[in-house]
Amino acid sequence: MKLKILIASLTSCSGCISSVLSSDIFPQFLERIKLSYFPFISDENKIEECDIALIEGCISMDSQIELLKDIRNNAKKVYALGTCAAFGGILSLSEKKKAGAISDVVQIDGIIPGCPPPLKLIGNCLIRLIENKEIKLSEKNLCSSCPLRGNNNIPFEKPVNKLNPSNDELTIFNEKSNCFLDNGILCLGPITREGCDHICIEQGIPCEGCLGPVSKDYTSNLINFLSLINLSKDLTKYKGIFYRFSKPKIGW
Amino acid sequence: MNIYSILSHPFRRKILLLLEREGFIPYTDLMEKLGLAQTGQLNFHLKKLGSLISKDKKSYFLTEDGKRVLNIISLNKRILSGEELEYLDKRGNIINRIGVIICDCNTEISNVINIEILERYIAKLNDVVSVKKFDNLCQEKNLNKITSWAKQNFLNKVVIAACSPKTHQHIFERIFKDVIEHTNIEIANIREQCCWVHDSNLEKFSADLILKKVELLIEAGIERVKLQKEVQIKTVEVEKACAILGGGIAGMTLALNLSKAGIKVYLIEKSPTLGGKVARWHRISEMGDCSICFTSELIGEIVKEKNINIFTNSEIETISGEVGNFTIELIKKPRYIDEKKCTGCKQCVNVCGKEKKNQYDFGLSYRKVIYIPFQNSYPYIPLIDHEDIEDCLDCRICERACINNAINLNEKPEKVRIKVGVKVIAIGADFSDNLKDYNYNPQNNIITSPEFERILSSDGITEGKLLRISDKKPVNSVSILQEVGPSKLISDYSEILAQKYIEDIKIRNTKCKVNVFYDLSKLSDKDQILLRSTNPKFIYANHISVKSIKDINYVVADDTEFLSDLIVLNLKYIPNKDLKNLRKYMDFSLDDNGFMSRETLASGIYGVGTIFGPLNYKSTISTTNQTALEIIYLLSNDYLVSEFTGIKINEEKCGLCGLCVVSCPYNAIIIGGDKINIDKFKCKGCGSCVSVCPTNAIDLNIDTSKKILKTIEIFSKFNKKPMIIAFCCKSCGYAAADDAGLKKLFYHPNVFIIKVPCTGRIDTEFILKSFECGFDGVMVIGCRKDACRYIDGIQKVQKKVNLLKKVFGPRLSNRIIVENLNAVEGAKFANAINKFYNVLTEEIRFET
Repeated sequence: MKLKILIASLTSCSGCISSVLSSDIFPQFLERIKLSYFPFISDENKIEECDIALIEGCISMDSQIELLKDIRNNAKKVYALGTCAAFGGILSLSEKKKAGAISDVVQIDGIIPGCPPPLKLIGNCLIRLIENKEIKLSEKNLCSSCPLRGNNNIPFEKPVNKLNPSNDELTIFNEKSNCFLDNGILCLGPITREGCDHICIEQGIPCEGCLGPVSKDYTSNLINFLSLINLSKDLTKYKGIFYRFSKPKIGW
Repeated sequence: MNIYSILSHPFRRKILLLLEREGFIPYTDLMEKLGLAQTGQLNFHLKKLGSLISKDKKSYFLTEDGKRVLNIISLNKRILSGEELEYLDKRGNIINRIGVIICDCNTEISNVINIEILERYIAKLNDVVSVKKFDNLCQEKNLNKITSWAKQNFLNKVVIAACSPKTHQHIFERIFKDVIEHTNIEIANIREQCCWVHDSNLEKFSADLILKKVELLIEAGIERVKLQKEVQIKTVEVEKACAILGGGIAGMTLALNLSKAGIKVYLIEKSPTLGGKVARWHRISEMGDCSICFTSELIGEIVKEKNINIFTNSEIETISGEVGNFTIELIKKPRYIDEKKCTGCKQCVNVCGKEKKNQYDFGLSYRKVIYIPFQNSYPYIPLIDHEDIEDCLDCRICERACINNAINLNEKPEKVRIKVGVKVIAIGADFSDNLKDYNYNPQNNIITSPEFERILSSDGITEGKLLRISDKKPVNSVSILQEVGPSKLISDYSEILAQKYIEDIKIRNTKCKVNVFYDLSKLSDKDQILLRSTNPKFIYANHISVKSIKDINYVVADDTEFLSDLIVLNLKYIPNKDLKNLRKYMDFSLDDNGFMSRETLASGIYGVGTIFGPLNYKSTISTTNQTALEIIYLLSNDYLVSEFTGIKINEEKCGLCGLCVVSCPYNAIIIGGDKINIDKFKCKGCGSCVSVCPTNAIDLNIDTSKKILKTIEIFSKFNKKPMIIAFCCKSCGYAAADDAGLKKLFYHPNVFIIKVPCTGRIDTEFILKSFECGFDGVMVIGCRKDACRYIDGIQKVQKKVNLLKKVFGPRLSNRIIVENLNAVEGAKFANAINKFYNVLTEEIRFET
């Protein structure tokens, strides 16, 4: 019996679904499962009973809440695909519209975070889904596998006053043991889950935290982290800099 | 059939156990075995046992039901005795059999609340086996009652609802000493935090509200004790021995102190003789004593001590182990002369044909390849330096000259392994050697202070006479240049040293002119003021230089020239060059000036002498004595117990980001390569690392995050607004709350106190969780800003609170407050709560 899978998208840029479609494993995945509902590529628009539902995007309309509840009732397991579905994403910052993570409305069984989720992570998760296992994410933070990780560790002494390295500085971040934070550049790696392929960091862009927190909630981690570094006053537009991927639970 | 009511009586359990052991027992035997006199009692119990037992013509025996019940009992017993605990632990189960004691404290509690209602509420809670009320728990007479109650009910955890743990925890722990692990005892402070501060008879607080608060305090205690897991205790057997690196004054004094306290000492010196630098000095300032007399006396005393093993000419190769049990491997460099055979007759020295510069006179004199460093060196046995063996002519004349056949030119390095409990670094400091600006040249009579000491010393270069080195003519003018060396380090002893030189010069040549120069451009403003001496010989100038015209030297101070027969550069101490090498074996870091930083020394490692920076003789001795006391204290333990109140790290979750390292005030966490390590003896259990870990990889063994979050959840059941949560640090905030209780200062019952080890332990998560759970305000009550028990915990939480307020703006600005109190400010505590209560009431009204 093939697994029945449903892939739905709510308010989103469809980047996560595009990533799923473009992953190496997707053709094999298609062979092993039966897609019951996937409005992105098929006209079938009836929600049937299924084994797994992957939801992309955040909730911003009442009709989406209805849809989501319908899916929850029909699916054995519901997973949030991408940062918008998992944490609310950039749209949740909107002050006029109410937008939030799908877990605000229904119970979910797991998340596949990332903006969009890294291809390797998607591949691993799809394999586990086919095998009918729980999705397993790393329990460590980004630093543990960071390509810039140095050996000696007396970290974060310099004042942090930049968001990105300047052009001249870019070359030094190609070498090991040149942590962004040690050089006064804000990087959210310590409070972000491990699991991406470090695409940003390898290009000289510090981590922005799209994979979300490992434990506790994002705001707690953020405040704890900021209390330890010497953050410059220029970087105090907290909403814009730090809350790109989620809205704090207790609201503004 | 209710098995539990059957089993509730010890007699009935005993009957079952007897029947299990013996199979069939007649009625009369049963009576005898139970020690009963009346048949009625036994009849009653037998009847109660019902279908668990049966009777044939003669005897009673167990039925199948009875056997099954007994199986359950014995399993329970095994679980409680710990046999099955490991097995259950693996499956993630903890057996909780919790007993709750309510202490009435001589009706202090029952005056305020109805204990019966309370008992009924508590007894209904999950995992609570028994609730017992005592009038006075803290009194000795209850001891037997309590322990038998705990044993009968097979309790493994206890919640005591009574007075403050600050005053009574140790008493309660003593009561349960052999019955219940003291990590499994939780105290709900219902006296100081509730009954004494919310008395409904005197103030207009509702009695129901107070009862509810007591219920929640106890319930939270139960939930906390449920979450307590077994704490792994690691003990290290203490090796009662100490290794001291460096045989200078500090090292030797320490060795003598420790040895006299009965501790075995290994004194390890890199050079071939004890004595260190001081042995080469002429005399010690302010002591009047000639230093070699003094050192030789000290050496004499050390040699007498049987507890001291001396390794000269030896270096450390590896160190392993932890505090209490280190293993050190030494390499003993060859002396090429057998210490046991040699008598120190110096025949070999006399016949040796090859000369080298003598490093003990700073290269100003010559010695043979085979040599004795100086008079009074210990051991007084000649040697050939390991490095010099290449220069040896290999003529073997010395071999023939030695009557005792002590010389062995083929000797190889020897490895020695020792075991010690602590290590001490006493390798001293080095002298500044960057002298380019001063035309330094001993052959042209511009010398350093150590070299000058060798001139003054009677066994030195000029045998104590004040002569120029270049032509051995008498010296008529000496200029002493102070503070020569790296600019930032100021040495308080340089002035004393200059004064000593002035005296010594006067003794040798009364007509000799002496001038002491200070270069103000090399000193900070503060030092310039501090240094000003009234002595006319001290000259302060904005610029000082040394001018040499052929073999005549001048010191130029601003524009004035001073002719000098001898110029002495009074050198500053710089960090020992071996320190960097030592860091491979030992954990410590260097301070801004490159000296060893005392705070960063790992436990079991001590430092004495000038490794922390320049010290004069007297301070060296006094700090050494102090360190000796610390070491004696540590080594007086037979075992060191670790991992008790401290932290544990889950390496599967740790991403090595280093946030905990930044947060730890004691440098107890070390990340090296791909490993994270805790120095368990340095960790004081403040938990500030736990509060910042982004992956929850670190947790405290006792005050776990789960417990605190659960406590917040339980407290949120209180339904009278405004609800306030107060995080109190155990040393100050909690004590202030107790003080308010002891003084019976009333405040609103809407506040719930959560004890944390230090305010630095407070995770932002706790604050946010409180708001999520429906609390209206959060108070953080900690030590005064400059008096935090754990150095800077209160500043850490203040930073977090400030950030929270910045991020969330006006919404939280009035909802979180941080108070700094000390342990006797109960009145301030009560005031702060009442004030906050009013503010929040106002806020809530405004919002609605």
